Amino acid sequence: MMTTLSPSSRAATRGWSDITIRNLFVIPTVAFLIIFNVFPLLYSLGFSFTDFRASSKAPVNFVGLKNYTDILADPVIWRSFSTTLWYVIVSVTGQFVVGFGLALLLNRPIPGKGFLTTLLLLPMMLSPVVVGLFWKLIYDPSWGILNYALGLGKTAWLTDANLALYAVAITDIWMWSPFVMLLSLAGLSAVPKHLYEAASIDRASKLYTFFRITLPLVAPILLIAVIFRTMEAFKTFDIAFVMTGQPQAELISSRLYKMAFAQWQTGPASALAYIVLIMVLCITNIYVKYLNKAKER
Amino acid sequence: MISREFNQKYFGPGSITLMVAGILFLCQPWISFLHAWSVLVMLIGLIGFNISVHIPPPEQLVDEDDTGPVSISKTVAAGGGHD
Repeated sequence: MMTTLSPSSRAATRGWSDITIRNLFVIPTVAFLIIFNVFPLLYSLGFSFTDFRASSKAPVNFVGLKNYTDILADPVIWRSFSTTLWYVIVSVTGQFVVGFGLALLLNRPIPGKGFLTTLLLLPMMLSPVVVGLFWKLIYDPSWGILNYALGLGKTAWLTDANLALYAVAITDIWMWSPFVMLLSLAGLSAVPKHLYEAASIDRASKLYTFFRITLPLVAPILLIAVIFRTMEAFKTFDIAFVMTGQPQAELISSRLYKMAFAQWQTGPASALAYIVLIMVLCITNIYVKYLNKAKER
Repeated sequence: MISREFNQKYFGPGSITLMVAGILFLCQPWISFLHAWSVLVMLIGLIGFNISVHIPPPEQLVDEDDTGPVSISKTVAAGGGHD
Protein backbone atom coordinates (compact mmCIF):
# COMPACT_ATOMS: atom_id res chain seq x y z
CA MET A 1 0.00 0.00 0.00
CA MET A 2 1.35 3.43 -1.03
CA THR A 3 1.44 6.21 1.58
CA THR A 4 2.33 9.87 1.04
CA LEU A 5 4.29 11.76 3.64
CA SER A 6 3.41 15.29 4.64
CA PRO A 7 6.26 17.82 4.38
CA SER A 8 6.63 17.85 8.17
CA SER A 9 6.91 14.04 8.20
CA ARG A 10 9.55 14.23 5.44
CA ALA A 11 11.52 16.69 7.58
CA ALA A 12 11.07 14.36 10.52
CA THR A 13 12.53 11.42 8.54
CA ARG A 14 15.59 13.61 7.79
CA GLY A 15 15.96 14.15 11.53
CA TRP A 16 14.90 17.84 11.57
CA SER A 17 13.09 18.91 14.68
CA ASP A 18 10.47 21.69 14.73
CA ILE A 19 13.05 23.97 16.33
CA THR A 20 15.53 23.34 13.49
CA ILE A 21 12.89 24.14 10.86
CA ARG A 22 11.86 27.29 12.73
CA ASN A 23 15.50 28.37 12.95
CA LEU A 24 15.96 27.80 9.21
CA PHE A 25 13.25 30.39 8.57
CA VAL A 26 14.18 32.85 11.30
CA ILE A 27 18.00 32.93 11.13
CA PRO A 28 18.34 34.40 7.58
CA THR A 29 15.96 37.26 8.47
CA VAL A 30 17.70 38.00 11.75
CA ALA A 31 21.12 37.80 10.06
CA PHE A 32 19.95 40.22 7.35
CA LEU A 33 18.68 42.68 9.98
CA ILE A 34 21.90 42.45 11.99
CA ILE A 35 24.14 42.95 8.94
CA PHE A 36 22.20 45.80 7.31
CA ASN A 37 20.52 47.54 10.29
CA VAL A 38 22.06 46.81 13.67
CA PHE A 39 25.72 46.67 12.63
CA PRO A 40 25.73 50.02 10.70
CA LEU A 41 23.83 51.62 13.57
CA LEU A 42 26.43 50.57 16.14
CA TYR A 43 29.33 51.23 13.74
CA SER A 44 28.12 54.80 13.13
CA LEU A 45 27.80 55.29 16.91
CA GLY A 46 31.52 54.52 17.09
CA PHE A 47 32.20 56.99 14.24
CA SER A 48 30.32 59.73 16.08
CA PHE A 49 33.10 59.80 18.70
CA THR A 50 35.92 60.04 16.12
CA ASP A 51 37.22 62.48 13.49
CA PHE A 52 36.77 59.85 10.74
CA ARG A 53 36.37 61.04 7.14
CA ALA A 54 35.20 58.44 4.63
CA SER A 55 37.09 60.21 1.83
CA SER A 56 40.46 60.22 3.59
CA LYS A 57 42.98 57.55 4.56
CA ALA A 58 44.23 59.60 7.53
CA PRO A 59 44.35 57.73 10.87
CA VAL A 60 41.13 57.90 12.86
CA ASN A 61 41.37 59.62 16.25
CA PHE A 62 39.01 59.27 19.19
CA VAL A 63 37.67 62.74 20.04
CA GLY A 64 35.13 61.86 22.76
CA LEU A 65 32.07 64.12 22.86
CA LYS A 66 33.74 66.87 20.78
CA ASN A 67 31.57 66.19 17.69
CA TYR A 68 28.41 66.52 19.80
CA THR A 69 29.52 69.72 21.54
CA ASP A 70 30.68 71.21 18.20
CA ILE A 71 27.34 70.43 16.56
CA LEU A 72 25.40 71.95 19.43
CA ALA A 73 27.56 75.10 19.19
CA ASP A 74 27.29 75.41 15.38
CA PRO A 75 24.95 78.31 14.39
CA VAL A 76 24.28 76.81 10.92
CA ILE A 77 23.04 73.53 12.39
CA TRP A 78 21.07 75.42 15.04
CA ARG A 79 19.34 77.40 12.26
CA SER A 80 18.59 74.13 10.44
CA PHE A 81 16.94 72.73 13.58
CA SER A 82 14.88 75.93 14.02
CA THR A 83 13.90 75.88 10.34
CA THR A 84 12.87 72.24 10.69
CA LEU A 85 10.67 73.01 13.72
CA TRP A 86 8.99 75.94 11.91
CA TYR A 87 8.50 73.74 8.84
CA VAL A 88 6.93 71.00 11.01
CA ILE A 89 4.55 73.51 12.66
CA VAL A 90 3.43 75.04 9.32
CA SER A 91 3.21 71.74 7.48
CA VAL A 92 1.41 69.69 10.16
CA THR A 93 -1.03 72.52 11.00
CA GLY A 94 -1.85 72.89 7.30
CA GLN A 95 -2.31 69.15 6.85
CA PHE A 96 -4.53 69.00 9.92
CA VAL A 97 -6.78 71.90 8.82
CA VAL A 98 -7.07 70.76 5.18
CA GLY A 99 -7.32 67.05 5.99
CA PHE A 100 -9.92 67.41 8.73
CA GLY A 101 -11.89 69.92 6.66
CA LEU A 102 -12.02 67.52 3.72
CA ALA A 103 -13.07 64.69 6.04
CA LEU A 104 -15.94 66.82 7.41
CA LEU A 105 -17.05 67.57 3.86
CA LEU A 106 -16.89 63.93 2.82
CA ASN A 107 -18.66 62.70 5.97
CA ARG A 108 -22.09 63.45 4.51
CA PRO A 109 -24.16 61.80 1.80
CA ILE A 110 -22.86 63.24 -1.48
CA PRO A 111 -23.02 61.70 -4.95
CA GLY A 112 -19.76 60.09 -6.15
CA LYS A 113 -18.31 60.06 -2.65
CA GLY A 114 -16.19 56.93 -3.22
CA PHE A 115 -14.72 58.27 -6.46
CA LEU A 116 -14.02 61.65 -4.87
CA THR A 117 -12.29 60.03 -1.89
CA THR A 118 -10.07 57.95 -4.21
CA LEU A 119 -9.25 61.05 -6.26
CA LEU A 120 -8.28 62.98 -3.13
CA LEU A 121 -6.04 60.13 -1.98
CA LEU A 122 -3.94 60.17 -5.16
CA PRO A 123 -1.24 62.69 -4.03
CA MET A 124 -0.37 60.45 -1.09
CA MET A 125 0.39 57.57 -3.43
CA LEU A 126 2.94 59.48 -5.53
CA SER A 127 6.68 59.39 -4.99
CA PRO A 128 7.91 62.46 -3.01
CA VAL A 129 10.64 63.13 -5.59
CA VAL A 130 8.09 63.18 -8.43
CA VAL A 131 5.83 65.48 -6.38
CA GLY A 132 8.79 67.78 -5.69
CA LEU A 133 9.74 67.92 -9.36
CA PHE A 134 6.29 68.77 -10.68
CA TRP A 135 5.63 71.34 -7.95
CA LYS A 136 8.94 72.90 -8.98
CA LEU A 137 7.37 73.37 -12.43
CA ILE A 138 4.17 74.75 -10.88
CA TYR A 139 6.21 77.29 -8.86
CA ASP A 140 8.39 78.37 -11.82
CA PRO A 141 8.54 82.21 -11.89
CA SER A 142 8.49 82.47 -15.71
CA TRP A 143 5.92 79.94 -16.85
CA GLY A 144 4.65 78.25 -13.68
CA ILE A 145 0.87 77.91 -13.46
CA LEU A 146 0.64 79.13 -9.84
CA ASN A 147 1.85 82.69 -10.52
CA TYR A 148 -0.38 82.81 -13.63
CA ALA A 149 -3.48 81.58 -11.77
CA LEU A 150 -3.00 83.88 -8.77
CA GLY A 151 -1.78 86.82 -10.84
CA LEU A 152 1.42 87.11 -8.82
CA GLY A 153 3.69 88.19 -11.67
CA LYS A 154 7.19 86.74 -11.43
CA THR A 155 7.22 85.66 -7.77
CA ALA A 156 10.23 83.39 -7.27
CA TRP A 157 8.79 80.92 -4.78
CA LEU A 158 11.77 78.60 -4.54
CA THR A 159 14.65 81.10 -4.71
CA ASP A 160 13.17 83.73 -2.39
CA ALA A 161 14.68 83.13 1.07
CA ASN A 162 11.41 84.10 2.80
CA LEU A 163 9.12 82.02 0.58
CA ALA A 164 11.11 78.83 -0.12
CA LEU A 165 10.24 77.09 3.15
CA TYR A 166 6.53 77.88 2.77
CA ALA A 167 6.60 76.65 -0.84
CA VAL A 168 8.00 73.31 0.34
CA ALA A 169 5.46 73.20 3.20
CA ILE A 170 2.56 73.83 0.76
CA THR A 171 3.76 70.91 -1.35
CA ASP A 172 3.95 68.69 1.74
CA ILE A 173 0.46 69.82 2.79
CA TRP A 174 -0.86 68.95 -0.69
CA MET A 175 0.76 65.55 -0.54
CA TRP A 176 -0.08 64.46 3.00
CA SER A 177 -3.46 66.10 3.79
CA PRO A 178 -5.20 63.01 2.33
CA PHE A 179 -3.55 60.91 5.03
CA VAL A 180 -5.08 63.07 7.79
CA MET A 181 -8.35 63.08 5.82
CA LEU A 182 -8.40 59.27 5.69
CA LEU A 183 -7.83 58.86 9.43
CA SER A 184 -10.31 61.64 10.28
CA LEU A 185 -12.92 60.07 8.01
CA ALA A 186 -12.49 56.74 9.81
CA GLY A 187 -12.92 58.53 13.14
CA LEU A 188 -15.94 60.54 11.98
CA SER A 189 -17.76 57.53 10.57
CA ALA A 190 -17.32 55.75 13.94
CA VAL A 191 -19.20 58.47 15.88
CA PRO A 192 -22.58 56.96 16.92
CA LYS A 193 -25.46 58.59 15.02
CA HIS A 194 -27.78 58.52 18.05
CA LEU A 195 -25.60 61.17 19.72
CA TYR A 196 -26.37 63.59 16.89
CA GLU A 197 -30.07 62.68 17.08
CA ALA A 198 -30.08 63.35 20.83
CA ALA A 199 -28.30 66.68 20.24
CA SER A 200 -30.84 67.73 17.59
CA ILE A 201 -33.73 66.81 19.91
CA ASP A 202 -32.14 69.04 22.54
CA ARG A 203 -31.91 71.76 19.84
CA ALA A 204 -28.10 71.97 20.15
CA SER A 205 -26.46 74.31 17.63
CA LYS A 206 -24.14 72.99 14.88
CA LEU A 207 -21.15 74.58 16.59
CA TYR A 208 -22.07 73.11 19.98
CA THR A 209 -22.56 69.65 18.43
CA PHE A 210 -19.17 69.92 16.72
CA PHE A 211 -17.25 70.97 19.83
CA ARG A 212 -19.10 68.74 22.31
CA ILE A 213 -19.69 65.55 20.27
CA THR A 214 -17.66 65.37 17.06
CA LEU A 215 -14.32 66.76 18.20
CA PRO A 216 -14.02 64.89 21.55
CA LEU A 217 -14.86 61.56 19.90
CA VAL A 218 -12.51 62.04 16.95
CA ALA A 219 -9.72 63.59 19.06
CA PRO A 220 -7.78 60.34 19.81
CA ILE A 221 -7.51 59.39 16.14
CA LEU A 222 -6.70 62.99 15.17
CA LEU A 223 -3.95 62.99 17.77
CA ILE A 224 -2.49 59.85 16.23
CA ALA A 225 -2.58 61.45 12.76
CA VAL A 226 -0.89 64.62 14.05
CA ILE A 227 1.84 62.79 15.96
CA PHE A 228 2.49 60.48 13.02
CA ARG A 229 2.75 63.40 10.59
CA THR A 230 4.97 65.33 13.03
CA MET A 231 7.35 62.39 13.18
CA GLU A 232 7.47 62.17 9.39
CA ALA A 233 7.80 65.94 8.89
CA PHE A 234 10.89 66.04 11.13
CA LYS A 235 12.53 63.55 8.77
CA THR A 236 11.51 65.28 5.50
CA PHE A 237 14.36 65.18 3.01
CA ASP A 238 13.35 64.31 -0.54
CA ILE A 239 10.82 67.07 -1.30
CA ALA A 240 12.97 69.85 0.20
CA PHE A 241 16.15 68.53 -1.40
CA VAL A 242 14.60 68.33 -4.86
CA MET A 243 12.78 71.67 -4.69
CA THR A 244 15.13 74.23 -3.16
CA GLY A 245 18.76 74.86 -2.31
CA GLN A 246 18.05 77.96 -0.19
CA PRO A 247 20.13 77.96 3.04
CA GLN A 248 17.20 79.65 4.82
CA ALA A 249 15.01 76.68 3.92
CA GLU A 250 17.57 74.02 4.77
CA LEU A 251 16.04 71.25 6.86
CA ILE A 252 18.13 69.21 9.26
CA SER A 253 18.07 66.12 7.02
CA SER A 254 19.46 68.16 4.08
CA ARG A 255 22.18 69.56 6.38
CA LEU A 256 23.02 66.01 7.47
CA TYR A 257 23.25 64.86 3.85
CA LYS A 258 25.60 67.75 2.98
CA MET A 259 27.84 67.05 5.98
CA ALA A 260 28.05 63.34 5.26
CA PHE A 261 28.31 63.24 1.45
CA ALA A 262 29.34 66.71 0.21
CA GLN A 263 31.84 67.69 2.93
CA TRP A 264 32.74 64.09 3.92
CA GLN A 265 32.62 64.91 7.66
CA THR A 266 31.63 61.34 8.50
CA GLY A 267 32.31 61.57 12.27
CA PRO A 268 30.38 64.82 12.94
CA ALA A 269 27.63 63.69 10.51
CA SER A 270 27.21 60.46 12.51
CA ALA A 271 26.93 62.54 15.71
CA LEU A 272 24.27 64.74 14.09
CA ALA A 273 22.43 61.63 12.87
CA TYR A 274 22.39 60.34 16.46
CA ILE A 275 20.98 63.65 17.74
CA VAL A 276 18.21 63.40 15.14
CA LEU A 277 17.69 59.74 16.10
CA ILE A 278 17.27 60.66 19.79
CA MET A 279 14.75 63.34 18.80
CA VAL A 280 12.77 60.95 16.59
CA LEU A 281 12.89 58.26 19.32
CA CYS A 282 11.40 60.77 21.79
CA ILE A 283 8.58 61.60 19.35
CA THR A 284 8.01 57.88 18.64
CA ASN A 285 7.78 57.07 22.35
CA ILE A 286 5.23 59.84 22.90
CA TYR A 287 3.34 58.58 19.83
CA VAL A 288 3.23 54.98 21.14
CA LYS A 289 2.14 56.18 24.59
CA TYR A 290 -0.83 58.12 23.19
CA LEU A 291 -1.63 55.34 20.71
CA ASN A 292 -2.01 52.91 23.62
CA LYS A 293 -4.14 55.45 25.50
CA ALA A 294 -6.38 55.86 22.45
CA LYS A 295 -6.71 52.06 22.15
CA GLU A 296 -7.82 51.80 25.80
CA ARG A 297 -10.72 54.25 25.22
CA MET B 1 13.38 52.16 43.88
CA ILE B 2 10.50 54.10 42.33
CA SER B 3 7.08 53.42 43.87
CA ARG B 4 4.23 52.63 41.49
CA GLU B 5 2.19 55.62 42.65
CA PHE B 6 5.14 57.99 42.23
CA ASN B 7 5.79 56.57 38.78
CA GLN B 8 2.20 57.05 37.66
CA LYS B 9 1.78 60.53 39.15
CA TYR B 10 5.16 62.17 38.60
CA PHE B 11 7.93 60.06 37.05
CA GLY B 12 6.12 59.01 33.83
CA PRO B 13 4.57 62.44 33.04
CA GLY B 14 7.86 64.11 34.09
CA SER B 15 9.82 61.99 31.60
CA ILE B 16 7.41 62.90 28.78
CA THR B 17 7.69 66.58 29.74
CA LEU B 18 11.50 66.32 29.61
CA MET B 19 11.39 64.72 26.15
CA VAL B 20 9.07 67.41 24.79
CA ALA B 21 11.12 70.15 26.47
CA GLY B 22 14.32 68.69 24.99
CA ILE B 23 12.87 68.77 21.46
CA LEU B 24 11.71 72.38 21.97
CA PHE B 25 15.09 73.40 23.44
CA LEU B 26 16.89 71.84 20.47
CA CYS B 27 14.79 73.61 17.84
CA GLN B 28 14.08 77.00 19.47
CA PRO B 29 16.00 79.81 17.73
CA TRP B 30 16.52 82.19 20.70
CA ILE B 31 18.54 80.84 23.68
CA SER B 32 21.89 79.22 22.90
CA PHE B 33 22.26 77.74 26.41
CA LEU B 34 19.03 75.73 26.05
CA HIS B 35 20.08 74.50 22.60
CA ALA B 36 23.47 73.33 23.93
CA TRP B 37 21.89 71.22 26.73
CA SER B 38 18.86 70.02 24.79
CA VAL B 39 20.27 66.60 23.84
CA LEU B 40 21.06 65.80 27.47
CA VAL B 41 17.52 66.82 28.50
CA MET B 42 16.06 64.59 25.74
CA LEU B 43 18.28 61.66 26.75
CA ILE B 44 17.31 61.94 30.43
CA GLY B 45 13.64 62.07 29.41
CA LEU B 46 14.03 59.11 27.03
CA ILE B 47 15.79 56.92 29.62
CA GLY B 48 13.31 57.96 32.32
CA PHE B 49 10.37 57.17 30.05
CA ASN B 50 11.75 53.72 29.22
CA ILE B 51 12.18 52.98 32.95
CA SER B 52 8.70 54.34 33.65
CA VAL B 53 6.88 52.13 31.10
CA HIS B 54 8.44 49.03 32.64
CA ILE B 55 7.01 49.75 36.09
CA PRO B 56 3.50 48.25 36.39
CA PRO B 57 0.62 50.59 37.36
CA PRO B 58 -0.52 50.63 41.02
CA GLU B 59 -2.90 47.82 41.97
CA GLN B 60 -6.59 48.80 42.06
CA LEU B 61 -8.35 48.52 45.42
CA VAL B 62 -10.94 45.74 45.21
CA ASP B 63 -14.26 45.93 47.02
CA GLU B 64 -14.41 42.70 49.04
CA ASP B 65 -18.20 42.33 48.61
CA ASP B 66 -17.93 42.60 44.86
CA THR B 67 -16.40 39.42 43.50
CA GLY B 68 -16.60 40.77 39.96
CA PRO B 69 -17.67 38.90 36.84
CA VAL B 70 -17.46 35.11 36.99
CA SER B 71 -15.15 33.46 34.49
CA ILE B 72 -16.72 30.21 33.25
CA SER B 73 -13.47 28.92 31.75
CA LYS B 74 -11.56 29.55 35.00
CA THR B 75 -14.30 27.92 37.08
CA VAL B 76 -14.37 24.85 34.82
CA ALA B 77 -10.56 24.65 34.82
CA ALA B 78 -10.59 24.75 38.62
CA GLY B 79 -12.91 21.74 38.68
CA GLY B 80 -16.07 23.68 39.57
CA GLY B 81 -19.45 23.66 37.87
CA HIS B 82 -22.16 21.02 37.71
CA ASP B 83 -21.29 17.34 38.00
